Amino acid sequence: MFVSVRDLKVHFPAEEGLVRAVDGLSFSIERGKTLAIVGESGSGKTAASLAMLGLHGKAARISGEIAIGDAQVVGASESTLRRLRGNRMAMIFQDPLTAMHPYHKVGEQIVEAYRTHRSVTRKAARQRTLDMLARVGMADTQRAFDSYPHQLSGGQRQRVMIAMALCCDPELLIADEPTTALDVTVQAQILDLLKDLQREFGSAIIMITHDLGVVAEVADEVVVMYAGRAVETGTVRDVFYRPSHPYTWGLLESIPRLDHQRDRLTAIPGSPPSLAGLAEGCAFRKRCGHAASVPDGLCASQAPLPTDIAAGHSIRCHLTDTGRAAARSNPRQPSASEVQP
Amino acid sequence: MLRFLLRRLLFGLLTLWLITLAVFILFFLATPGDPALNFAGEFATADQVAMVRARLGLDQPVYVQYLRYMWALLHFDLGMSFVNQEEVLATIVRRMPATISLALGSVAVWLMIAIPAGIFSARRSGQAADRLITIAALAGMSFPTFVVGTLLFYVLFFQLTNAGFPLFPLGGFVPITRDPLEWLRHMILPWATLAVVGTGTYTRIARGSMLETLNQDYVRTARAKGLGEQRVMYKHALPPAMTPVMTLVGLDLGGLLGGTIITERIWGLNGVGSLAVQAVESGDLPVIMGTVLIAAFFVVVANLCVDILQAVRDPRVRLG
Ligand SMILES: Nc1ncnc2c1ncn2[C@@H]1O[C@H](COP(=O)(O)OP(=O)(O)OP(=O)(O)O)[C@@H](O)[C@H]1O
Ligand code: SF4
Ligand SMILES: [Mg+2]
Repeated sequence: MFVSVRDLKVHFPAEEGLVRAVDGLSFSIERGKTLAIVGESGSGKTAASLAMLGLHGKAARISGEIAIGDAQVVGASESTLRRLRGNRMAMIFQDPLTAMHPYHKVGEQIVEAYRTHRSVTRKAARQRTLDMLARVGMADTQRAFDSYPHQLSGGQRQRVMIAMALCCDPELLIADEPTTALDVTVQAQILDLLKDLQREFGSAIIMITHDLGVVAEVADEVVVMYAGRAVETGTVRDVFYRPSHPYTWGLLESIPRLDHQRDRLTAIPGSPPSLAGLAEGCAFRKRCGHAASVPDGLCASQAPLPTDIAAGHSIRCHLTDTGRAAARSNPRQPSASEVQP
Repeated sequence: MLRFLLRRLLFGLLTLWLITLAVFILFFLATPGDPALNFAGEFATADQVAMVRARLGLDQPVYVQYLRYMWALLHFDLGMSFVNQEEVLATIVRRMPATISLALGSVAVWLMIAIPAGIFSARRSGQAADRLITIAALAGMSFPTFVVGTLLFYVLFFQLTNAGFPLFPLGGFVPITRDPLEWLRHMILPWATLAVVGTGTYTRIARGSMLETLNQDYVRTARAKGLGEQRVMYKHALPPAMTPVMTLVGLDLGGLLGGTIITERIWGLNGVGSLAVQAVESGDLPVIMGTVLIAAFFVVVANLCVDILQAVRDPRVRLG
């Protein structure tokens, strides 16, 4: 496996208790493949991706293992991390306007990224930048080079961010909700661009999103995150055709579908638990309609461990195979009164 | 850029004009008693009063008076002091070197301390060093200038001189053109007097602004590109973090160039501030008016300079 994350934990000490933003996350990606991490707001997606680049501040307590090829991230020195960042792994962010420096020309920002890792002349870096700008579909590259971020449209800005991220030909690209801030049509263009570039550059991609449509579009593997943990991990087929965790069922239910007549969008009732000092038991139980079918109140007393239900398909849930089949044939959401605060 | 400059310039001119208008209303129309008597001074003879009345056109309708006043201002004619019969502008210009030395010097001193201290503090936010700096800054901010000045005077002039180390002079001003070293020796304590409060205030501003900038997405991007910490700090975080500091410098410098009253008094600097005080004490209306206009002029010019500098730095301001 090219990228391998084992039992990653990102904890923040806070006044109301330890905030477990990421709590035992594991996944792996092969070269040239795309892994999607899906989850609601606050489920720890950004915290996990910042940990991949070693970008958390001193306040964060990070443990576990992150391997990018032969390089270890957790516990690595700042200079080792600097050689990895922007070079072997790069990141693009949700809001390209705030993610670019307002005072610097976008071309110069790419040149800076390139020259940080390659000892080349300014001229060569400039040429590389112009090539990259052309590659991401900027029409007038000279003009784009000399633009400031605020002079570009949202889609153009995200293209520039992608050019910046890919200029050193990274093996891993982390995209943290790269299309959330964009119009729907532009979203599709950016996703297509990423897929094209992946084919060309062969980078592995971690696509962070809360949009299952994006997952279906680009992902090979999927990690469904809830409250800092991976509740279901599998291929995109596993997750879409054989979803096995009650939370994933809820997520899939909430996709608006054109082929179904439906009165309203079924979102999962309730909201994610506070991550500070999570009690024992399954973090999803207060919103789960199936905890009652698990014997001995196990859902309340024990956190489910990751269990393989098929090769490469694993979930964190106490439901047995038969229990799951029964529950799936009778998909029910808890009524509002069942959702405890 | 040109459009921006023109707009700012026009705005500055408009502000200046409004101030001159306010001054006109205040000194010509809204003062109690006969303006001619006010402008001529209480010891003027009847002939002198009549002369002033004629010269200022105070027997004319208001709009003529106003036009005359503006006409004079446009020719940098601020009138005549009736105390020493000297041109007001010439008097002010003669007082400017002390005021400029004090203003530029003290701002330079406090910026040189406050900016590094603020950055240092922000980078160690929450740690002991940060707390210490924050407490020191708060303490500095809360010392009134006259207390600082008196303390400096007592300890660094009086005690030191008594102990046989006359490091600092009693006060007074030596122009830098006459003797740069003596100029420096005379300015150090006045600078320190103003710089204590300034350093405190600016350290807090610089720290807060730097902290906020360090949390910006573009700083995270800079780190994600693999840049070294120094480059992240000084190329990416520092320039935007300086914006609030610069804005405040514009206001403070403008204010200080209009004259400082307490500091000039303590250190016997005959600047514009003490000129204004003397003018008020002797009821020298033309001089009072002149110092008010000059102070307003510097505030407007200093802010204009800051705006232009900001436009040079920030393309969003420059290109709109
Ligand atoms: N520096 C920090 N200090 C304390 N808590 C933090 C910090 N960073 C993140 N958290 C907490 O960790 C949790 C996960 O945050 P994260 O930003 O990773 O969520 P996310 O899944 O990316 O959500 P979104 O979809 O809104 O971006 C949140 O509850 C957040 O409050
Ligand atoms: S462990 Fe229990 S509460 Fe958690 S998802 Fe499974 S059935 Fe629901
Ligand atoms: Mg996020």
